[in-house]
Amino acid sequence: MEIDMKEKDKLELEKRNGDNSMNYQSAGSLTSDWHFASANIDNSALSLVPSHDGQMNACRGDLVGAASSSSASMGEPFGPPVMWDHQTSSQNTGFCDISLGTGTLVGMTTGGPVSMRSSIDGALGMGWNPPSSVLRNSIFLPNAHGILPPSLSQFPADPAFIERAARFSCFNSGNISDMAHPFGMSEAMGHYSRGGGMMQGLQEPFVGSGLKLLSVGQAQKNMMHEGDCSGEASIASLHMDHMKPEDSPLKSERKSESLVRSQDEVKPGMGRSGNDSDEAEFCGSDQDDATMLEANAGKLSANGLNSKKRKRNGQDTVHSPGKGSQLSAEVNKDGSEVQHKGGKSPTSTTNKTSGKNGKHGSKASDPEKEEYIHVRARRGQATNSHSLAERVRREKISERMKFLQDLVPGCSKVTGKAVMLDEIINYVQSLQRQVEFLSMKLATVNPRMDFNLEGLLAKDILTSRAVPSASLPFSPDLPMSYPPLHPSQSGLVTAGFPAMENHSDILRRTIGSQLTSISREFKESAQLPGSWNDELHNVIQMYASSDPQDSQEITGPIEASNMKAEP
Amino acid sequence: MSATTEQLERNFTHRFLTSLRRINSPDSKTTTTHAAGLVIRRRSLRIKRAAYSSMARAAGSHRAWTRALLSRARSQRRRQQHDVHRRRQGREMGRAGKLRGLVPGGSRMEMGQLLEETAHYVQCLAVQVRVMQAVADHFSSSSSM
Repeated sequence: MEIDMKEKDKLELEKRNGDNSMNYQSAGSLTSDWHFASANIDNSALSLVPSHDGQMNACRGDLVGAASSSSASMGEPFGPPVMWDHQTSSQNTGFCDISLGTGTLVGMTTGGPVSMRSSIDGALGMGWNPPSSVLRNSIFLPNAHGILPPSLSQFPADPAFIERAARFSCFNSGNISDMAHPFGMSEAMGHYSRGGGMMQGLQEPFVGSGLKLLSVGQAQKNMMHEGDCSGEASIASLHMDHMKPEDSPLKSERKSESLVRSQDEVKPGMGRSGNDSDEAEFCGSDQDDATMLEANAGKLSANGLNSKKRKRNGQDTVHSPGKGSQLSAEVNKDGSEVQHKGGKSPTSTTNKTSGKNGKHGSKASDPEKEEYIHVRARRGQATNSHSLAERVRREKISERMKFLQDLVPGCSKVTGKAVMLDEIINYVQSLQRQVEFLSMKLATVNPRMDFNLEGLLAKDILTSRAVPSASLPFSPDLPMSYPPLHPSQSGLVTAGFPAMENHSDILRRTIGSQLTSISREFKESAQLPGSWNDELHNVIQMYASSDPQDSQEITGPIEASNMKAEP
Repeated sequence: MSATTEQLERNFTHRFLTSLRRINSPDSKTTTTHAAGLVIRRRSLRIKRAAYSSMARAAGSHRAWTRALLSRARSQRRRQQHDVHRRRQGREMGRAGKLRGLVPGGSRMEMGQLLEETAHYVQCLAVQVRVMQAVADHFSSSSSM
């Protein structure tokens, strides 16, 4: 019965989520599924891995499907974030963690979408979550391949499911994980490890204990607006193909149905209110969900997501090093408790009651969207609803910080929120300064030429790819070194510009001083000291050649600064 | 570069160059009445605003910071200065407050959303800088030849 119910729940989830790339099969095959998923993902995710170019988009785009530019621009810039790596290690999800943490995260170090990370964390926290792991596996696979024995058989291969999965995967990588979560969750209710598992898959708080749906939900929300699932569909189908519909196709069908349904509902709406998560109702009925749900719902519904936290007191099954059998056992147990709370009731107030109902019912009721975020209380920690919500929030924030850490260059060794924030602030400030400087530069340069938009576009695109020599020092290195320009720049300005003779001279001096300042920064960053000097001289010569009379003025302070910069 | 980053870059480049052309071509009012130095300053400010607006449009309105940027641009154009800088989060001190000041619309967000928006904003800023640098190089190199 338990297994049946779980599968049924899965199907419901599928229906709701629509795009469940991860339809998970019965509990029994969880472990195998995971392996299978990982294997599958390997195939499909292999292409994803290399694309990381340090951009979140890269990760994500690959993940979702390189073909589709995920939902419009950077909607979901986060790809399979490295966070998973962090998350998994931090979580004691045993089996899941081991396999996922080691392998996958390494591959996709590029910051994936924050939401993705959060969702992944949640999934990983589960410990076993074959479904979630499948999702993640797709992302991580390349690394975790060896770890997970490919036995993901339960993915329903019916075409409708694939469609839904595709649709579901529209949302950035975070979506995928979100999608996976709802499915996995239903089975692994008991496994969700810890709080923070707020998964908000497509705007719907996935009920995966320990899944961070909130962050995911947010990202999803943003992504949802874009609604560019075309590419995703292809990707999703990719994953789907690999999955063998071992489970009764009916179940998967149902799941995908529910997923789709939930997805569809969410899409038109502001965001999915975590229908998927509702589907992934986990068993965990033993605990007093009511309080958790209430507190969580209140907090999590800030974004319009109905989330319900579910905690499992004293259940650290997730943390225990779950082997496959162990997980399956847990899954079975959870499965019995799992139930899909009905209804897509976007109000968080219903969470409480539905949570309770779900707990006891543990039937595969009609796939309703329950927007619950199940959070499991860690062993020895307070199980107060407020503290749990706080914990979820903290974990979400730490997830995002980790993602940012990958984004900001030179922050890999920085530990601590305060220092990290300082680095982020410095980086943003330096980027904004660069924009200001470049706009000034463009203001001086532009009037000299005729504008040919088409030609400019073509040339610009080519030049931006080729990274012209003059810009070389700026592009890669500017982000690296962003110490304040003020000291050097002000010194040069005061020294070199005693009077304002004419605008061109002033501009050249300003730009020259800025260039020298920036070049000094480059040197400080110790990237390519020799080349910087050359680059700087090239740029300076450009200015000098355009106005020979200023050349001496320009090169003077520049050489002085160069001499100062070179110790 | 990922597909989305490339798409964003292309989108931004197109918009930015269009506004650049619009800024540079009608030079009638700036060259005659004002001092030469101010002309450049004013034009650079316009270019900077155009760059941010182009990026905000290219990135899409599903992001809070793009919406905040565009609404700020719209209100500024109408000569209205709304002090929404510290509307929601009550002038938070320290680093978080600084970050809120840097990211458009940051004062209204809570910490989790702020970090997420910051990440996306940083990515877009990097693209913006890269494109502007390429445009500037292109212009300066072609003008010097």
